[in-house]
Amino acid sequence: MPKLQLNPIVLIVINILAPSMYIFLNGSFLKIYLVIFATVLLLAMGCYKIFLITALVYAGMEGIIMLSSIFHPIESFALFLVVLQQSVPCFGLVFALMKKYSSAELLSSLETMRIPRTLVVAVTITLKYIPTFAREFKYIRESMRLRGIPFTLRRPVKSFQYFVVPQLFRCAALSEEVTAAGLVKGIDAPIKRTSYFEQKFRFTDALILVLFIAGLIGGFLWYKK
Amino acid sequence: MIELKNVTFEYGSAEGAAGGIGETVSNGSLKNINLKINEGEFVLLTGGSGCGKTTILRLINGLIPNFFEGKLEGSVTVDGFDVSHAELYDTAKSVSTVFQNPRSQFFNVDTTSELAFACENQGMAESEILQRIDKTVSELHLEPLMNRSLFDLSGGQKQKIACASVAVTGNKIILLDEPSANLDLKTIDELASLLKKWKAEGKTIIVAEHRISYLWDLADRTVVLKDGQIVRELSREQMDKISEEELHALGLRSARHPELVSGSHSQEMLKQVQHDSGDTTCFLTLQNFRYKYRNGYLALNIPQMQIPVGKITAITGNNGDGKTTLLNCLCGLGRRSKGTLLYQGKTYNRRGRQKLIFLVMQDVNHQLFTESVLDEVLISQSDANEDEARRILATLDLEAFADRHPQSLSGGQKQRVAVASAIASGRDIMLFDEPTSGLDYTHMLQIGEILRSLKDQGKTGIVVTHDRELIKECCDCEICLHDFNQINPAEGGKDA
Repeated sequence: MPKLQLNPIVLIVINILAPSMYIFLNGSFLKIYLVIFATVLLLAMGCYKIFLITALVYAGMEGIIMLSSIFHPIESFALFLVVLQQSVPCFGLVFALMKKYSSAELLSSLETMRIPRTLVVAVTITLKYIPTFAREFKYIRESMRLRGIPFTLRRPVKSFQYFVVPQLFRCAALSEEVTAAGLVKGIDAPIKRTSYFEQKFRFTDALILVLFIAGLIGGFLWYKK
Repeated sequence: MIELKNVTFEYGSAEGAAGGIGETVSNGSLKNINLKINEGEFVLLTGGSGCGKTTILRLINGLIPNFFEGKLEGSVTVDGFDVSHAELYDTAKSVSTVFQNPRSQFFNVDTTSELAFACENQGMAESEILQRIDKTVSELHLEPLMNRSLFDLSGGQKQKIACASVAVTGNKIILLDEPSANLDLKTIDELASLLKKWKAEGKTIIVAEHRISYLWDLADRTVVLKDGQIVRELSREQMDKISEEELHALGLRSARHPELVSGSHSQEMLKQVQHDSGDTTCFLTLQNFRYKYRNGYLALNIPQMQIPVGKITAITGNNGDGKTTLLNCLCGLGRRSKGTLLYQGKTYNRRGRQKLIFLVMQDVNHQLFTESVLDEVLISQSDANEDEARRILATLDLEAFADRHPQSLSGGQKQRVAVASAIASGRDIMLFDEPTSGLDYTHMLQIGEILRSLKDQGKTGIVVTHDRELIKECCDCEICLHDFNQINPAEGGKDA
């Protein structure tokens, strides 16, 4: 069976809509509805591993919640899990989003959603800088070790300073360079950016969204009666 | 045509300044520059650090005064279009820039997006962008680099992507700011052939560079700057005639490739050293040095290698020959590094080596931690001794900066602070990772002098470098890592 190819916007919209629906809809209906919907989507997209992991986590949480009715000391923890469990299907879809699409594809779909340019740029920089920071910290840690400067909890402030000061200076220099590089490539042009990805909104994308929303409305009307 | 008419510029703040406090180099400002560059011309801008060559590029691509602020007089026009009063995104449609640092000139996280980026910003149609990318990729043979994370590429590969992203825009004017600073000789050759191709296509190329030998046969004209002024313009004929001595007098590096010291030559040299001394205690002996990545890739496999004690040894090789991995293994970084070091009759394992060897990193910013230069030296000493620390600083001409913040110094001064801490730590063996990358002739000589003085103090220096001039200047012998590193491709690098 061919795997379902979705426009990332569909997943983003579902993830924005789903949690906010708890305000309007019957909780137990929505819980089951989301589980079924996310399961179908994950399997159709071929994200079997993500499905398995989220299903296991979900079942584990369900087990603890059931256990709490006979074993009272974990009641408050179980209550916390009840809330957390509701978001597990959404997490499954987010993992699928992160695994299936590169950051550039995500950004280009954010662009089509008419999210302000500054926000898109901020997201790009963040995505790019997490690995950069990790690398810079590794260099600094190594050079501290080489110079025989230990990171010790006995002198936390001093140690922290040794760790952070070089990083801050690196950050300042790198951010200036990266901004200059973006500017000479016309990042701030006041026109609608295009994208080299074929990120069209297809019939299947619309169908999935319509089905999802129809299910929500159906549930709303059913329980309103 | 590009024209700078009576241009005088002074940076508004410390940014852009190349020289540190108290250094005699100027800070990149320009004084009354008049320069005309014709369409299709290849111009080399050169001169010492802070002479203003980067400033000229920033004026042409509009970063000055739009991003780097300051006091600007005179006019800068590109094809009659006043770039200093234009928006940057308009200038970006005709002028492209390749920067020095391959790590920070990308805005995206993967290669293909980076190639598309400039065109996307211009609102070009998808099909057009894809067509341009395909054309560039096949012309520059970049197929293996496509759709990869930029974080997984080497410096040379990143610089190729940077050049390709410029090619995709199809712009007629290409500026390059020290593009070779982080590249090995092989990659520099590739860069030179790309520039040759661009030149043949009629593009206007302006390169600001210290390392001029790879450009010397390509450029139509060389402009030499000093303290923000044009001190000499060399036409093609003059470039052919000028002697090395004249170039050095202008503070420039060699224009012709310095004679290569061959691998066999270095072996001879090593034997000579061994013969002279008659015993093996005057060697650092590396035994079974190995490093394997987590994915099983064997990056280093040196059954045995000897490095003379009390000498300066250059370690050369192309990217991927394992130079940086060897340095890391030598200093005992990385848990997966294996091997022992024999030094003065003692065997040092990985942990032991951490206290024996000091590494001056390529980016010294990673190893300066404290609030003052003096503190930097004091924390390196086993027992803090201020008099001794000041004496060490004096030997490196750093006495005047004792109370300064290390990060306020220039690159060369920071390097000397790192050397000062190395001396203070009392370690006998000092490693240098590309100490002259991006340095001009004068500063290269200065590093050579420091290395020689370390040798006079009885230290052993090991320098990983691509810089032939530095090797000529101060190294006693050269080890080409390619001859020693036995990564057997037949075994797929996966042997145990």
